Amino acid sequence: MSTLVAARPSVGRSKSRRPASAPRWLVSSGALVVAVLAWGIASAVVDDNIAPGPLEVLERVVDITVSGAALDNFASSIVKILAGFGLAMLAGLPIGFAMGRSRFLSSYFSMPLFVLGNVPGLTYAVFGLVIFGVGATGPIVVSALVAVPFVAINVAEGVRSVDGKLLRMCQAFGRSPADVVRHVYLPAITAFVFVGVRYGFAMAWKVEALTEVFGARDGVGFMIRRAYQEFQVADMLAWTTLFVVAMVLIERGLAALESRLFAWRKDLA
Amino acid sequence: MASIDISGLVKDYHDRAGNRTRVLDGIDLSITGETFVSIVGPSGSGKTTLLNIVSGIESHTAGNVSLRAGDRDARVGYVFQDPRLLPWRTVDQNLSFVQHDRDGWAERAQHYLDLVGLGHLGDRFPAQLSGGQQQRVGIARAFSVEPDILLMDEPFSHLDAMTSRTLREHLERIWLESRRTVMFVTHDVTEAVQLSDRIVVLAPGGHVHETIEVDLPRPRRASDPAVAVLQAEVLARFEVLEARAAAARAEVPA
Amino acid sequence: MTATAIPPAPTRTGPAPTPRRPSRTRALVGPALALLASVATMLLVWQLAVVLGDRVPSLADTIDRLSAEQASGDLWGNVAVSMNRFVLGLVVALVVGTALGVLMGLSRFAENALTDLTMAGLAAPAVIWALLTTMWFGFGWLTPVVTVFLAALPFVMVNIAKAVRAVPSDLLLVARAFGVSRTEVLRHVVAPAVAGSTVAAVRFAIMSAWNGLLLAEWFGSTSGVGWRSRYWYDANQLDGFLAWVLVFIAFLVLVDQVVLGPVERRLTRWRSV
Ligand SMILES: Nc1ncnc2c1ncn2[C@@H]1O[C@H](COP(=O)(O)OP(=O)(O)OP(=O)(O)O)[C@@H](O)[C@H]1O
Ligand SMILES: [Mg+2]
Repeated sequence: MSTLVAARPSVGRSKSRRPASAPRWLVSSGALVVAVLAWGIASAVVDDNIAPGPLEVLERVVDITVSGAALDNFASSIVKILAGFGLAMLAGLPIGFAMGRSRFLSSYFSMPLFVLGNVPGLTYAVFGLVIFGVGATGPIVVSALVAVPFVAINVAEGVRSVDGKLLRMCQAFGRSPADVVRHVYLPAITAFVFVGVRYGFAMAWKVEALTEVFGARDGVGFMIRRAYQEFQVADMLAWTTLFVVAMVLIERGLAALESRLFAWRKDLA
Repeated sequence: MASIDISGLVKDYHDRAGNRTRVLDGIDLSITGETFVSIVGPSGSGKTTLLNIVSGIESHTAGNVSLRAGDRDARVGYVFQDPRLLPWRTVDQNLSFVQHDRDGWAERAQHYLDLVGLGHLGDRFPAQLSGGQQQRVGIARAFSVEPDILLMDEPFSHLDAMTSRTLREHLERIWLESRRTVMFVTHDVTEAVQLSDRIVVLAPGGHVHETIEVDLPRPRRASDPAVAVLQAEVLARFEVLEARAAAARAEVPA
Repeated sequence: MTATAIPPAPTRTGPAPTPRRPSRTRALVGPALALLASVATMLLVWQLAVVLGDRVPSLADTIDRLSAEQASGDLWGNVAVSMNRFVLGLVVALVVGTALGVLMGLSRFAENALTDLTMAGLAAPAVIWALLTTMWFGFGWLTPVVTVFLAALPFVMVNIAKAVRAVPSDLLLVARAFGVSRTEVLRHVVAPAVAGSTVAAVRFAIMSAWNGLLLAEWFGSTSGVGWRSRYWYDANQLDGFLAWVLVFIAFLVLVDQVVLGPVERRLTRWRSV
């Protein structure tokens, strides 16, 4: 099950402290420029509308953004994901708590959670469409199903991480069960759940978008699908660019929020 | 006035196969008033177990344990071998967490943090403190609940010699200022002599081997000849016990 | 918390209840029983879905369809075709990704230059690669192979770079000071340090690549497991589609629990002791 917890690559927070020769931003933006130039040259050589150049794509990005289409469709996708994550929390918290407390339930849930977490996105997309039609329900249910294992497994880890020694300390000082839950269990779980949400988000959004590719009325995936059917490669790339940028920004935002919220953690401090 | 009364205390552990190990075997111990009692004994003689039973963390198999303060149940403070602070709460919040009595806790907490020299670090998280500082927070926490009875399990054994000497002095000073009934577990005989009014020596097998009264003026200094003489004497007796324990261990497998 | 919080009741008299003794047999039977119960529950949920959602095919129909696929030769034929593409794309991704990852782990410059691009690669959904390669390469073998390659590459790079950074430079110095030979250093210092992230690299690469392969074959192929599952979907025969989903899941469980799981446990044994 390690696919779903800490083993995920920790993106964007490189910690090595070797002396830098050139400033980081200069090198990374330089590399981006080189990559875009290479793309431009390749598209000029191919010279076909299935390989639009960066300028053309940029133009479409600007159009999509200015027309408000970007905001509409991203908002629609994100609302579905949030709803899905809400459902995933409702299911994942009790499951994770049970798994953290009982060995039996931990083995009991591990197989279904593995399947939920690793089933190829294609399967979710098709069943979302077949069972729920083209409405919003399919993507919501699908992102909930994708997110449940992330939430549950991290809640379970959080519960397990609660040190027996701390619990005995509470007992020695005569703390009530309510106090123990509030001051010991909840803080321990929150940090883990946050990590779960951070990693689960990227996964859930990708599958949600895929579901929209297969059938939807709006959303980023739907726009990509429409561009594909109309053979508008520049549009496809523009939507993809926006998707990638939004994903990276959200990921960075969550990482920043994490280090603020969990200042007590030594590894983040 | 607080008192600890232990009579006929027995503790058995059972392993998975159902075998019984007797860890404490009929302990009788009575501590009354503002007495500082050290429990010493070879490793595995049941010191931590005894303290855990007194504090209510562990159950016991037979016998009676009663902690009283006047005509009510006594309130307990515990300093563990490791700091055991909530990592996600600041120093202040950690002290606040254990309070029974919300009135004036902030002043109390500040007072005891000042006494251990950490009055200015109340906003730090435990991870932002050194090991010795964390342990001092643990001591301040135990005192801050104004316990009738204070239990300590080798609170200095994880620390280096310098730090533990300073903390011992801190402890004696705080104790002199606000005296309580103390049960203090330690491996270190010199530490026991320096701090206690009475030393209870536990023998392997979990019974009281002997009780030594320490009647020396306070505050004590390790360099004081009277302290040194008594330390040497208790150490000699303790070594005999340890040698016997080692011999017993060697015989068992045969 | 209120001012009325009750102090502990430290007076405990008389023998405490005898502690519960867990038996040895229970410790062994537990997980097996849990797995059994878990499979039973999953089948039950499936059956429930069959009854409630009228479009979900039953287990019996699905198994029937799967054995029919096997009898007609469609099962192993398509699996073989897909495996060829999968392994080819994956191996190239592992080789290229390892080279780039090692570079990123060793050189600050390479790390700065490639991190943003890798992050973009991680964020891009595999379906976009499947659609683009379909447009670029048509219905040939290149479409699935390139998709597999692109889907796996960033995961390999990130995790291999992490593995390289995990090599303890202080221990390398110790080894040099003691004149330990190069092979010994590789075996006892480098290998244990990089094992965890390397397995992670392979695992994520496989998961992501498999996802990409299915999509590429769905949109841009006339053979392979993805194409075959689409064939049933287009024919509106969901039991056929579901039969192939069972194959997809079986593949992942096989890779994770039977191949990678034991390897990982062996390589990272030292952590738990
Ligand atoms: N949970 C347990 N199950 C079985 N035996 C235990 C358990 N906890 C402690 N023991 C045994 O009880 C005996 C007393 O343990 P205890 O921790 O009280 O010793 P101690 O005197 O504090 O030793 P030390 O000085 O090393 O801390 C030991 O022999 C130990 O092995
Ligand atoms: Mg002990």
